[in-house]
Amino acid sequence: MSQDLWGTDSDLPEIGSGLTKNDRFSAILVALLTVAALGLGLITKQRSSTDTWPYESREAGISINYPTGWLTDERGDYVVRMRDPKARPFKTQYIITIVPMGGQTSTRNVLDGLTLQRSADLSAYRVLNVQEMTVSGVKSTKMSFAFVDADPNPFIQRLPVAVMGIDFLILDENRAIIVTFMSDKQMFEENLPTFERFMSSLRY
Amino acid sequence: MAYMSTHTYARCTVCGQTLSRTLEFKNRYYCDVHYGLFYQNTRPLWRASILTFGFLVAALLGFAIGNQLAPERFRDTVQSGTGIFIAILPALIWIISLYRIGAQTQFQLSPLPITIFVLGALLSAAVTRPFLYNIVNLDIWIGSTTASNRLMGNILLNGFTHTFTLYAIIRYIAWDSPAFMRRTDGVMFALAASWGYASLINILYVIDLGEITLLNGSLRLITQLCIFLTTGLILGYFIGRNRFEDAPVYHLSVGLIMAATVNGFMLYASSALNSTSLSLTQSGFSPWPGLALSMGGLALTFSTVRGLMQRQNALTQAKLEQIA
Repeated sequence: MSQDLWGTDSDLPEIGSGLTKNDRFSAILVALLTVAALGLGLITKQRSSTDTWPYESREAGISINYPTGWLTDERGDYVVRMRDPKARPFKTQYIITIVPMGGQTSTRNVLDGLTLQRSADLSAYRVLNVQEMTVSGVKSTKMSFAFVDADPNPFIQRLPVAVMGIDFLILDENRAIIVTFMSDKQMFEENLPTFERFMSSLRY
Repeated sequence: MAYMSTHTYARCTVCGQTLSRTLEFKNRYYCDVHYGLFYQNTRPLWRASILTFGFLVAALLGFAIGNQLAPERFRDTVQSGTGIFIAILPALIWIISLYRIGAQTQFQLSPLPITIFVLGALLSAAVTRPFLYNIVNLDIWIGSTTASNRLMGNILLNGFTHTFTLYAIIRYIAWDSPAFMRRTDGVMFALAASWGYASLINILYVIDLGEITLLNGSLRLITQLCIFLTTGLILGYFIGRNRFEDAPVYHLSVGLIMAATVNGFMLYASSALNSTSLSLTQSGFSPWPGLALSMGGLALTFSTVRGLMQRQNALTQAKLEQIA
């Protein structure tokens, strides 16, 4: 018999082979399920990255939410310093300082005082910009600066790091609240949104 | 000439051969040869697995005793070459004993488990590791987040990534192969993929560290192995069943969820349990609780999967004999 007369296997309707409709849908469902689980996992990760812990200082009359896992330190001439212990080579940090303001003290005086002090303490300290702005509905002064962080120990084999920072100075009756952000220049833009969330949680 | 026919034809689920006489079981069609095979036991699989698990227990005791007796310089560090040897040895024992027992019992095994073993190793190094640790940065996040987030992250990111990779290897490499001719072959292929996958994770762990400690480092390698083998057993059971039955659409998904959840939970728990209290006499770390959990989980899963497979095979055999 010729092939034309009898047809071929492929011409016949198939009733059974390796894959059924259930198998095909099952393969799609497994892939979708995996994508959904990974998506949910990434969302959980993203959300927890923005998790915060509350900080309150009754003495200074401020409260603020800082990133989970950061270390706080209240031993310096500031209200609190919060540092990211995992940041390398320079530890990203937020510093809150309260400066008393007399009747004759202006915002400029406070910022100049900071500049003079930092010029003595920090290598290659430079003020980059000073501008008036509104943060979370509050008028404040923003001062951008940069310096070089170099370990004083000459035997430490590490390149000096360029650090960028911002001071926000907020006038509150007879005091100025200065919130400072400092980060490795390479990571500055990446760390800025976290600092903005930190700033927006400030209550005084 | 146009051809119209009302005739139908079927192909064998295993070999794809066009069938003149259709033998059906749960909406799958078989040729005469494979109809009598799919519910048979892959005998070398269980024996090789029991032998290798026995070796793992013996190795464990060896490390514990060796740690007490060995000079301090050997206890502190094991060189990376020795570490790699410790990481790969159990997998080699499993593969070699699988084929040796197969040869001794005249049970013909295809070379596909070796291919799948190698593929599992390659995918773990080339796909999941870069994805989890370079793109998602999972280790950094897991190390700094809360316990509940660690559990969620381990299940959703670690568990599903590892389990889907193992699933994909079997589903897209072994599923259509004529070498996949028994339900228990699903477990064999899943275990082969898991051995390769886990062994390379362990090898890369040793290479990353440069050297490991004799006891803690070796026990960590065994813990990881047990976790991935448990995942492979669960996955293999569901794939093995689905291959020879037209199971509901959700069947494989349930298997994947179970395997991924167990994988993530064991990864989380083995790490969390190893953190003990810190005191003058305790270092704050003990590898034993995590190891006990993963070995117990493996033993329980192995006996459950083996028992379920054997029961289903016996039931299928009885049913087919009744029909005949």
